Parts: sequence; C-alpha cells; structure tokens
Amino acid sequence: MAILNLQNVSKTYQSAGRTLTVLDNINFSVEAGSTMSIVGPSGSGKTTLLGLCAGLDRSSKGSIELNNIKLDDLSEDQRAEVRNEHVGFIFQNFQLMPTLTALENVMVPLELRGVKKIKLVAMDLLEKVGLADRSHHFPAQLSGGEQQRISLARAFINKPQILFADEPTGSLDAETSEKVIDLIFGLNKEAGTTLVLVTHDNDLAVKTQRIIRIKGGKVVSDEQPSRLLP
Amino acid sequence: MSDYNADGKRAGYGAWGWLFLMAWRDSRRNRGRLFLFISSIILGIAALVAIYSLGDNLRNDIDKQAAGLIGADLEISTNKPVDASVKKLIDSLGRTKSEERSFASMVYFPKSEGTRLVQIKALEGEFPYYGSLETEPVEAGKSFRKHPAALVDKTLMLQYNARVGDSVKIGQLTFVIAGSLLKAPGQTGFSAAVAPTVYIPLYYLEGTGLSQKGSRINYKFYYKFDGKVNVDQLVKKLEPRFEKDALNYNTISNQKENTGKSFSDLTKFLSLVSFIALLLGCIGVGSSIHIYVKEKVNSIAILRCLGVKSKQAFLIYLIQIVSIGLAGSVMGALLGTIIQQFLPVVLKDLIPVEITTSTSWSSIGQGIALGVCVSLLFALLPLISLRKISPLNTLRLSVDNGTMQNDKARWAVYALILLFILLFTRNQLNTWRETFFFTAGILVALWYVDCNCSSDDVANTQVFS
Repeated sequence: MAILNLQNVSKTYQSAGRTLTVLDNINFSVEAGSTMSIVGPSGSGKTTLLGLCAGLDRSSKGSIELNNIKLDDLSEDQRAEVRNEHVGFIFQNFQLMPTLTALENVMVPLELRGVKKIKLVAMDLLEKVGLADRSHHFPAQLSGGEQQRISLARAFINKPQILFADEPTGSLDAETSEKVIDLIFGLNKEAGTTLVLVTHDNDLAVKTQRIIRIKGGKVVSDEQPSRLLP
Repeated sequence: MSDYNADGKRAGYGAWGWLFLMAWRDSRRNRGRLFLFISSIILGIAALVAIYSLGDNLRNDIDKQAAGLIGADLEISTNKPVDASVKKLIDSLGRTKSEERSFASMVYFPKSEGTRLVQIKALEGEFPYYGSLETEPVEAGKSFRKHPAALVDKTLMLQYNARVGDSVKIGQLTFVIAGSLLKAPGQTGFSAAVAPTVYIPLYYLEGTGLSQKGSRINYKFYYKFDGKVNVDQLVKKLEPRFEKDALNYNTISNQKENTGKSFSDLTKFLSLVSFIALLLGCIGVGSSIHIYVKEKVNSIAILRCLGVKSKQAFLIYLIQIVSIGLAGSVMGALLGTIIQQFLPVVLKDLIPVEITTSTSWSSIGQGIALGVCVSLLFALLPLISLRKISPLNTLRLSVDNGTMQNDKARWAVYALILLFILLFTRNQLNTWRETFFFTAGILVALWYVDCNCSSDDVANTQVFS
C-alpha cells in the first residue's frame, strides 16, 4: 500500500518576471514501511521535493497524496495538522527550539495534539537515543550529534507513518554520523515507519531500499541499491 | 486525522494552556530583553499614572478646600471706591463681613535700609472665615489688626533679614512687624514670591497717605453667611445689580469650578504630553518587537513544521507581548504612584491647596489598561507578519517576494491605532475639533518617525505561496 503518491508534480517560481521550473513532472509512490533516498546534485530540486512531499509547500501542478490525504486541496493550517498527525522530520541543522530543554523539544508534537502524561514517553525515547541524562539541557549545551539525537526522539514521539530526513548527517563528523544513521534506521525499523531521506551521501543512500536520483528537477533514475551492488 | 473533533479542533489538552506554556518557555532567554523593550512603556505609564493621580487628588482636594481658597462664603470686589448706593447694598448683604483694600506699593525696611515693591492688603474684620492667616507667631494673624502692626511675607522677612518686632515703613507710617506671613487664603508660594504681601489694619491705611484720589486700589468685601443662606441663589438674584455697579463676585462654588477647571486643563495638557511620549516610546517598542520577531522566524518555522497553526504561532508571541505589556504597565503604575507621592513637594508653591497623596485606583486602572492597549497595538504590526512565516524556513532561507503591503490585517491594525489615538484624545480634550487637530499632528509625527523603520522586513522572509 502506497503511503506517498506523487502524480505529475511540478514546482515553479516566478522570479524577475520569469518562470523558474524547479521540479518538472515528478511521478513516484512510496510503499508504507519502506525506506527511500532522494539523491542529486546541489540545486537539483531534492529539498524542494522533500518540502512538497512533507506538506511544507504546495506544488504548482500535479497531485500529492500522503497517507491517502490529498495535500493539494488543503490550506497551510490543515497541512500543519497532517504534519503533526502523520509526519516526522529530521533536519540537517537539527532545528531544535533553542529556548526549550531537550525534553520539552521532544514533547512538543504530542503536547500540540493535546495528549496528556507524555513525559514518560519522551523520557523513554531520550533513553533510546542515549540522552536521558541530558533531558534538562538546552540545545546550546549539547553537541551536534546530541542535538540530532534529540531531533530523532522528537521525530518519533508522535509515531509518524512517514519520516522525512533532510541531509541528517550533513552537519556531523563521520563517527557521529555513523551513530546517528544507526539510530535512524534502528528506530525506524522498530516503529515500522516509512523513511524518505534526502542526501548527498551515497554511502547513506545505499542503506535504503530504493534510490531516486533527480537532476534539473527531473527524476533520472529510480533504482534499488541491492541491484546496484556487486 | 481521526482524533479531531467535528469542528476541526483537537480533543483533550487545553489549547490555551499549551499556548501560555509555550509563550513562557519561548521567553526564557529573552525576558530581560523584553523588559528593556517595554521600559519606555513603564516610564510613559508612570508619567500618566502620576499625572492622573495628581489630577484625581487635586479634584478632591479642591472640592474639600474650596472654602479655604476664598476664605469666605461670598467675595465682592471692585476697582472703584464704593459710593453711597453701593455701600448701602454692601452693608445690606450681611453683618459678618470684612473689608480689604489692596494695592501695589513700595515698602522700606529701616533696619536693612531695603525697599521693595509689595502687595499691600489693608484688612478690617475677621477675614478669613474659612482657613486662616498662617503666621509666625501664630497669634499674630489676629493680633496685628488692633495696632499699627503688619504681617510681612516670610520671603520678604528673609530677604531683608527682618525679625518680628522690627519695623517696616509703608507710605508715611511705620508699622511694627507683628509676624511673618506663611500662608493666606488662595495664595501660593509662587505668587508670594512674585508679589509678596504685607497685611496692615485698614484703620491705618489713611495714615499712610497711599490711599488718595486716583490710587489704583482694589476693594474687596468678604461675607460669611449662616447655613440657611443659599449663596449661589443670592448672587444670581443680585447679578443685574452687581453688573450695573461694576461689582465682581466670587462664591465657593465659583472658586471650586474655576480652580478645578484650571488644574483640570493643566492635568489634561500634561496627560497629552505624556501620551505623546508614550506613543513615541511605543514606536520604539514596535521596532524592538519587529527585531525580536525577526529573530524568531526559525523557531516559528520549526513549530509550523511540527504542526502549529499560524494562529497558534501568532498567539504564542501575542501572549508574550501582552504579558510583558501588562507587567510593564503594572510596574509603570507602581512607579507612577510612587512619583505621585513626591509631586506635592515639587508643586506645593504652585498650587493653592494642600495636596493629598492618596492612591488613586482609577488612575492606576486607567494607566494599566492604557499600557496594555498601546503595547498590544504597536506590537501587533510586527506580530501579524508571524502568520505568514512558512515552515519551509526550516529547510532553506529562500526568499519569496510576498509582502505585508496588501495584508488586510495590517491596515486593520493601522485603523485600530488611529481609532485608539482619536478616542484617547477625545476623552482628554472633550471636543472633536481639537481632537482631530491633535490626532493629525500625532499622525504626521508618527509618519515622520516611522519613515526610517519599515516593518516589512519580517514578511520578506519565506512566506506561504
């Protein structure tokens, strides 16, 4: 069953009186519980594609369905509800709220839903990412790797159907990246979440079940790494 | 979206509670800065509350002390010597009466050989009937009337190093200084400094040789009536006769009204000056909030990503600003109440009544309401741009060309600010004509100040497509 379905999706911007096409007629669907990478050179449109898939932006043409919800017809506030309900995010720059403690950052998605007694759930997730003892620290008091692990805990707390990760190791050193990647895949497997990764890193991309390559706003290949490996 | 109610609202957790919690959390590292933003509100509200409280207390004090200001139930005055028919009228009005003739003259202090232009008041009778001539020694206020003695204003005594028992020469007569005059009905320290007063008994005025044909003398007659006489009705009845004989009159209620109006005008003027200062401060607040909001773009984008609606994001920061505005206003009101305790000390020489310093709760309430209103109104302009911040800002800092220029909410805020200024000014001035002129002046000034601080920048970050 497809959790994400894109049909003829295009994204254009008006700039200085000209139309700039960033994504052109993208078609693919993602099976629930699968893992997938979107790779491509800088400026190829992969982050724009991630934004559209996650409901952060609206396509100029075509249709996007997320968990059978048609995003194209929704207002920004309705898409915000969808994100809170079905989507988890991991960002390259971690994107933690600087004025919230690690624990509070993790709790936000569920607090927003109005769920009560979530402290234990959040602490459990912090335990899983190995940062239970840093729960009262602010992001500025944590290293990059630690911040990304907090961000992981936040992404999984609302039990999302789909997790979008934008260059999750882009700001980390090799050793920390390894640990974070293991955590992402480990938690993802445990929760049975669909994972969509945007990355430059081929080593990371090949860990997913499927790689979509885009160039100049178009899908140039859609392959399964196991078939590429010798 | 199965957990949503039919009306689209989420079940369970108190939405407002979470908004307040987030506003509190988000303010953590900015509280000091937010208070700095609001410092101009604190000072503006302090000034307004101090002035409102002073006005409030003055109104009450004038009401209570009006009789002491005039010193009698009725005062009749003329600058012409009274002829027989006027004398008949004056005598017919009441038996408990006093007469005072006042004029400007030079006096001479033999001990220090100094001369000075003063206001001579030649008095006969028991005036004042309300309040007293405050003198040093105390009994001098009554005893000087029986001898060729004078009460000399304390500033004159100091200036010429005169003491009780010394002499002062007025015209051709020399008077013994019976006492130092500290306070007389209706007299302020300021007026005493400009034209210091010397009281002498009326009986000795002729002897000074200063009362001659052509002398510029003001004649006053003071009356005290028993409780049965309605003074206002009496003067109304006699008004045509007073007019015919060029007699002026003053009653306690007239005095109350005139003095009250003078000081009410003064407090209104001072309130408007403080209001202008507050508005200018608010422009500063608006600019500071604008910068603050700009710094919050990323946090808001993160919240939007996690599912916060635009209205909720707006409310989180609105709660912060209103809370800080309320705190600033309360602090301002407190400071104003403290300042008000010292105003009587500063103003005692300018105001003819004893000013009390009781806490004016209505002034405090007005000040707090005003502070919250202005901080909210001027913070709204930068805050409404929060609604347009896109969650895409978490992924990139690309710029969309959407601006706030055509945002209806922005124009609604401008209209609210205008309405607020109009209503506040109308409340102070009571006439629409002056209100429109004042508001127009304020708008020109605000436009001039605002020229250098556009609030469009926030909207120039990534906005919804």
